[in-house]
Amino acid sequence: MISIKDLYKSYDGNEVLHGVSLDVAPGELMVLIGPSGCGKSTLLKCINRMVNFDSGTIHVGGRDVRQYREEVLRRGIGYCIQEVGLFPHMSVYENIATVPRLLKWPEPKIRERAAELTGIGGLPAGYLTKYPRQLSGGEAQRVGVLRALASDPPVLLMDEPFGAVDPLNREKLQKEFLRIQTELKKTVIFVTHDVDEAILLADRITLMDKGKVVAIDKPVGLEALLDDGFVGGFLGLEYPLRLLKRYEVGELELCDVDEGALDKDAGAVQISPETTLKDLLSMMIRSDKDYIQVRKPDGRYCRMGLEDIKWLLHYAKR
Amino acid sequence: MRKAGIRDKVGLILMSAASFMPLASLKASRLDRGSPFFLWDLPPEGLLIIGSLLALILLSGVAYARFGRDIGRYLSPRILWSLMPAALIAAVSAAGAGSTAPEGARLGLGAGFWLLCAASLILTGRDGVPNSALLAAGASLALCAYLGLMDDLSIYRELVSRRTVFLSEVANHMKLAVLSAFAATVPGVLLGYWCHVSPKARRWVMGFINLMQVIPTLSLLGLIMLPLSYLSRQLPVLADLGIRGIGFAPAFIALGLYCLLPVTANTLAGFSGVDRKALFSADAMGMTGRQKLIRIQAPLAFPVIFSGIRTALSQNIGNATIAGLVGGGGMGTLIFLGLSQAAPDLVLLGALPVILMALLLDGFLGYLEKRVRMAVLHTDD
Repeated sequence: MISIKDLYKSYDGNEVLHGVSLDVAPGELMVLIGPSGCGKSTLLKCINRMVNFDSGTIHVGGRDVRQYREEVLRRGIGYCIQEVGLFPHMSVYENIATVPRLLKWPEPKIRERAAELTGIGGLPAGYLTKYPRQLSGGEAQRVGVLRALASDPPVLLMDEPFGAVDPLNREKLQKEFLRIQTELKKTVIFVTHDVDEAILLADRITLMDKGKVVAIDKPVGLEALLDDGFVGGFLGLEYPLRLLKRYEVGELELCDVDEGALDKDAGAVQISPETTLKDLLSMMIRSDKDYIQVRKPDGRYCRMGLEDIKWLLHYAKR
Repeated sequence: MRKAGIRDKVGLILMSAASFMPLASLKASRLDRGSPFFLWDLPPEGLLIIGSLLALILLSGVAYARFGRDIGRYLSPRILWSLMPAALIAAVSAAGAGSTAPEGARLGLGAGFWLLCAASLILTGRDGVPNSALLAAGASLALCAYLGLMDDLSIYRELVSRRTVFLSEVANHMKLAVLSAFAATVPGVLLGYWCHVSPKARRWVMGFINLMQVIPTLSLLGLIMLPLSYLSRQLPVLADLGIRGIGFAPAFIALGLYCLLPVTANTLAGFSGVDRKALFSADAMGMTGRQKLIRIQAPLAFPVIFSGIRTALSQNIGNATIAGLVGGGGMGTLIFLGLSQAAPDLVLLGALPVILMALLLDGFLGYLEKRVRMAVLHTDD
């Protein structure tokens, strides 16, 4: 869906992008991550030509972005930024209607779409008549995402969209976005510097440093590269532990054990679908045994050791 | 009453000081300097009027302290202060009626009167003069005029004897001030936008406009008169249209040039102040330059531009006085006539309406500006 080849860009002699190549499949959520100044944000801006690159090519949907008129290209690509940038003099509805209006959609169709979007974004319908200054930071960011989705573009570019939101709301927004993404299957390029956010959201992660791609892999796959000085330094050597947080019991197939086979003295911990592999590991450490016994949400029992958690981590479907 | 603020203290100090200044003077004729008299020279009925108003204010203040609220909207101590000018006029006119002055004598209002009026207006509000106080002051003064209490006042006599001229000059003054401000609006906004898009233009244009602002009004008029009189002599058709070295045209042009600064500077500030994040989003969503200008920049800059137009109009009301010097009409005509005749009341007759017009216009435009801001930015304040 998005194909970037050998991209170069420099500002006043400083090379920001140094031969970047990247392919993103349709429906894939690609996270760009790296230390600040690594060029991830510039790379994102090259895709809708908010930044003009020096050489190389970018194809979106099979067509070279340089063939489009800038405005036409941008109207076809959803874009949302950390600062949100809602138009303060327009209601939430008018903000959402911006791109559809530029695309000359008929007004009834826009109204229908706006109603649909508030449903998707979990905003009460009354919010459409509110103005940006009446929204909290989290709500404004939500509207920013909905505005980017307004014309139902196949491609979505997101530049640290949840970076300015407080940690509690950030996690809520991330999970909500994940739900929306599972439903809509957009092709997303998502820039962040937050490793946990990358692990939670990414289908694949592109790790960048000094204008170059260091690694492209699934979150689990990057674990193998931790011996590399830069990768280990940036992702942190506790990366495998952070990885565990991505997987929730609800999405995994845990083994079953008969109630009779349980160790009666150890007892069993009740877990919920939101319990993560990281939680299970913590329980194991606290229980002072090399296995734990849990009562799953469906009422059945499971007995797991460290090996099982590692197996789940590497062979889980996501 | 609540604890007296700095403003109330200033008002009270001013009032005590003014009480020792000449309240008015009895003049045998229009140009006579007259014999001044003071607050304590007032006849008993005059003292009674002022005394009862003060007693009423005191009473209402006590009632406020006792009940913790005003006993009625128009009986609050603050509003009652606004009746002081009318009470003073009634008292002064009582003094005039009681005197043995010959027929044709008149009363010139003195520094004491004007300062007492100013002090009591200061005491009407915690910040600014509330509309209700202005209304009460205006209504009570109108009542005085209706009851004939002003008939002996020198300034009132000047007004009556020049009623027609007065009204037409008020109209001239407004016309000059408002039209020249509006005429400056379009070029001012265009220049401001040009300055916004081109830093080079900003340097030159703002430099020129600031220069305009520091040229004294009189010199500017002189500078404009020369080319205009030359032009009108070369092209008689211009002279037929009323464009000459003196009169309406040079005053109009000078006032317009003075208006350029607030309009241009505010337009520049308005456009520069538009939220950068919103502009970035507008670009990223695929707006063309023109769409961005019409849908984002212009609406967001408008309240600031409007406030520049308000400044231009307000300052123009004062500046338009200068038109009287070059035969451009307006209240300046009365003021400069009064100066040349050494008739202070004629000067006041010209100056007071200018103050009143400026206050009223600024109040009205301030209200409009608030509405514009609310309509564009949807704030509640």
